[in-house]
Amino acid sequence: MDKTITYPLQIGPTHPAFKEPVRFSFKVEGERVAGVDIDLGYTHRAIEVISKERNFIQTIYLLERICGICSVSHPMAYCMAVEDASGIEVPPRARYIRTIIGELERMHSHLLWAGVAAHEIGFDTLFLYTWNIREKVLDCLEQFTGNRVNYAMLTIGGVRRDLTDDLIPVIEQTLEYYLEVYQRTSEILLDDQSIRYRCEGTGILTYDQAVALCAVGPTARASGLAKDVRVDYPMLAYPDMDWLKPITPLDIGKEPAGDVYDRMVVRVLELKQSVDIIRFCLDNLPEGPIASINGSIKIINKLKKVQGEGIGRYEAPRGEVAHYDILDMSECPVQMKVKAPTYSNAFAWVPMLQGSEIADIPIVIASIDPCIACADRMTILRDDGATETLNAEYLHSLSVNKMKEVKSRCSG
Amino acid sequence: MFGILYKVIEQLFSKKATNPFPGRYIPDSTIETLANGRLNPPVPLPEGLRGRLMYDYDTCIGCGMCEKVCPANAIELYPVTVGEKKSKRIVIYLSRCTYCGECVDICPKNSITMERFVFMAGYNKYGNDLIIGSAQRQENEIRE
Ligand code: SF4
Ligand code: SF4
Repeated sequence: MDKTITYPLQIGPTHPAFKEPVRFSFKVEGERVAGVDIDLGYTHRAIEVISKERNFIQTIYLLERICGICSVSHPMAYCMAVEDASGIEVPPRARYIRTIIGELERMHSHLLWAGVAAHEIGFDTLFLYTWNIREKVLDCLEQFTGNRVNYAMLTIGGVRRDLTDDLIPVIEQTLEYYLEVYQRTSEILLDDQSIRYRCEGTGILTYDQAVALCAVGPTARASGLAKDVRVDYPMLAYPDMDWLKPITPLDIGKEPAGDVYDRMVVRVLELKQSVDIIRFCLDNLPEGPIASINGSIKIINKLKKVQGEGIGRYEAPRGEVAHYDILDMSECPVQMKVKAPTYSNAFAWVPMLQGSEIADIPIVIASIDPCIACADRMTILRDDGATETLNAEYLHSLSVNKMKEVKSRCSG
Repeated sequence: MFGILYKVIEQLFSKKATNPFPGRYIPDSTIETLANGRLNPPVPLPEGLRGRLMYDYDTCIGCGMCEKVCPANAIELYPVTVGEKKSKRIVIYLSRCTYCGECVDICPKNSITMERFVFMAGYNKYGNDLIIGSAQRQENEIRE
């Protein structure tokens, strides 16, 4: 029999292999994946609409809850967008403190990812090991900010808590600990035979595909695309570090193949890079105020008189996050748009999954470190439970109309 | 391969971080066992932890700034009379609070503070033990 039969295979919306709701429709031929379709939209929470009813300060805490893991990346991008629109300066000390929190978050996010990846390939010992060492940075964050996640540290024009002198040794100790365990951890993650068997050659995203699909973050860097918002875009304390460069598998002398293993390599190396960045920030921490405007009410009152638009970009652990905000003489953002890293990377799933085995689906999906809750931004719900199919044309016209409306408000 | 094997063996012989749970493991005297170091004490709470809120009814002037900045709308104002004048006081719904600390920072009279306390489970989200200031409200609120 030489006739091939294609079977449909649905995975999701809720499935134990995924951490969050997303639906994949596969066409499989035997064990091979012949076609992929992705269906997003199951965790939409209308964050952008809710933010229009909240003032600028309340919005920070709302945005912190877009994602539990990159809970400082979204407010960071938002604060930068609003600062961009209103011209509020961030004092140097605040820029450094922001960088430190961001990098601590990157460390815990990458360790979390390594654990999840190990779990997806059935290596639960490693999963528990990485999550165990991740506790240390969470403890450090708790001492520093007062909470393990949702740090509530940022405000527009600065940060809310200072990095006091007795906190510096705590962070130093944490970094010391990670340098100690780094050798062993990288050995386990990168040299272990079972990991190499499962990860090498799976879920390949070539350089050209990464460019064409606008992949971001570690996913793009694993394909050899040297892009990193921290290097490419002047923000926070990063411009002071001229030694900083995007990490690709070339750093360990490996030709980038763009497979799952390379994504692991990039993340492991970035752990070390984060330690270096935090060290640099601690050594060069400038003196001075930590916020340019004192008090949330003053911030709201100042922003109430501002008209304009701003963009904020930040390299979240998963890739570039961008916020666009429009301010228009109001206490609340009149319009805002969130572009989460997973939104860019989700398209890369298609070439990665094409031709892979069914058993590799979970690890390939997990390999871009998806955060569906970040990416889901578009669903229409009706009270009577009726479903409505919105085609692309309709959505496009909707979007054009909205832009016109916003523009007229901005210029009028 | 050997890296993780080494780690597993190391873990096997290291001190357990958790306390044995089912009822039959519970010692007769917890204090004695703790003193002998056979139970792991609770993890200490760090300095500066953002925990339960405390509210000082007497120093509050009813300016309402805390209500304005609260991202979770956890703070509610209610009318009272102070001497002859009309004023406002607040209650805080802990079940809605996200412990961001904005209200603590903004209060001009330092009437709201945070204590290092995290045990706030309750059966009723809107029960009096989860509403800070509910006793004073019952006493002082002016109802039309
Ligand atoms: S801590 Fe934050 S969420 Fe809680 S009452 Fe105060 S302002 Fe509201
Ligand atoms: S900010 Fe302070 S003084 Fe003002 S209403 Fe709130 S608790 Fe009272």
